[in-house]
Amino acid sequence: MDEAPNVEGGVPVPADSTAIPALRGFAVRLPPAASPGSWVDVIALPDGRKGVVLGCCAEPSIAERVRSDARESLRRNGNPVSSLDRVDGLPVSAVGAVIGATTIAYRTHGDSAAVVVPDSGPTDRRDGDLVVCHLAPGATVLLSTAPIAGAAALLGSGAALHPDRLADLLAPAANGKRGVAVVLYRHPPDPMAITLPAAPANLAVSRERLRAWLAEAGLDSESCADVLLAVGEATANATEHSVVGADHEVRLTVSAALSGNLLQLAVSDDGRWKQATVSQGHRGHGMQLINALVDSVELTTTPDGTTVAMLKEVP
Amino acid sequence: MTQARFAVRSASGDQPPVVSVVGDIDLANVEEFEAAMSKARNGSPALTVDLTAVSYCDSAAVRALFSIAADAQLTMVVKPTGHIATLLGISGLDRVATVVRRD
Repeated sequence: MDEAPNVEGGVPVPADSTAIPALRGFAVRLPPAASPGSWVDVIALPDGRKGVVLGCCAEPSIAERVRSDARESLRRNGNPVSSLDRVDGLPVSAVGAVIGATTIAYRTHGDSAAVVVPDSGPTDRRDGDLVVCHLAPGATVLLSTAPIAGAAALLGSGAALHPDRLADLLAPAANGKRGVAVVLYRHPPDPMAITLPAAPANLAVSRERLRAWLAEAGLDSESCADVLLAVGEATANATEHSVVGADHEVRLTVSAALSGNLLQLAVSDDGRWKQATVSQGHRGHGMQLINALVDSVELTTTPDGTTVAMLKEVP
Repeated sequence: MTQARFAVRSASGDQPPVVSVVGDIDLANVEEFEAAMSKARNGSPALTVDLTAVSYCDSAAVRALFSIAADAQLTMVVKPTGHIATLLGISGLDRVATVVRRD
């Protein structure tokens, strides 16, 4: 079965490619086309949860049937157990999983494996097959059609890496086994905030902190670049103005939080500008850029400081 | 602290001088960028700025480039995709200077 995986939000995949664009937070790797019968589906369920089914079977026609049954069932019921109802007795390794706001529920079949890091143990086991685990902010999940040696340790040490990067690191271990399909998932991390004195030398410091957090959150590279520039402009504006008008050392806070598909960003300062000295020209130039890069911008000035709050919808 | 290296190659024959930048440009080091461009130009009517190895730059760099473009023939070399191409488009810098897209 050489068919490209059905990954919503993705693009057509070249036949020789094994890295598949997927929903945010996910990285998908399929075995080479020479090893048919493997598939991955990542589905955004109507209630906001994410459904994942992956599997492999030496017999491509069985794989195709199991895949289509599982996909349909997951869409209809959002239930990882019933998604694999028809694999019993078949020579298939498969995982069905549903990821919610704070939990992952999954069922494994055959050789397949699920690893959750940090691992607080299953919170529930039902129907003999269903495993439910708590997902902490920033948790990483690995689902694979065969166990991958050393995976838990790698997931633990790579907790701050973009899931795509982590998938690349896992590839040598997974490739040793013929036909292993892999899905990595990163749960949205805790919000970040960094407060520093307003100084040009600190722009790079807050930028690197934000860059690391965006990678941890699994954002695509285009959204990352837009966000770094929008927040960078807001931070640079605030830094410039603090040099001009404030009567005390101004501190800047850069913060970011991810909730569903909405990225909330803010740059706030505790400066008290002398209005006449604020260069509207420069702020205007930066604001024009920010407006083009994010979906909404709100500038709030009070006697205690200024906050630029930005919202950006991310895929 | 913002880190960048600015390499300057002087004009030779009909080739304009070139400034190649590696790293980040922001408010902290934009003056170094301006100095490198003015040193490279040294009166030349044209200047090429290679930004393909720039990992971050913002409107501070854009302002510096606008001011060069105001009285010199400016050519910028950038990657075809990524945030610098976006920045040039949004700021309008691509309308007052020549942009060469190259990986």
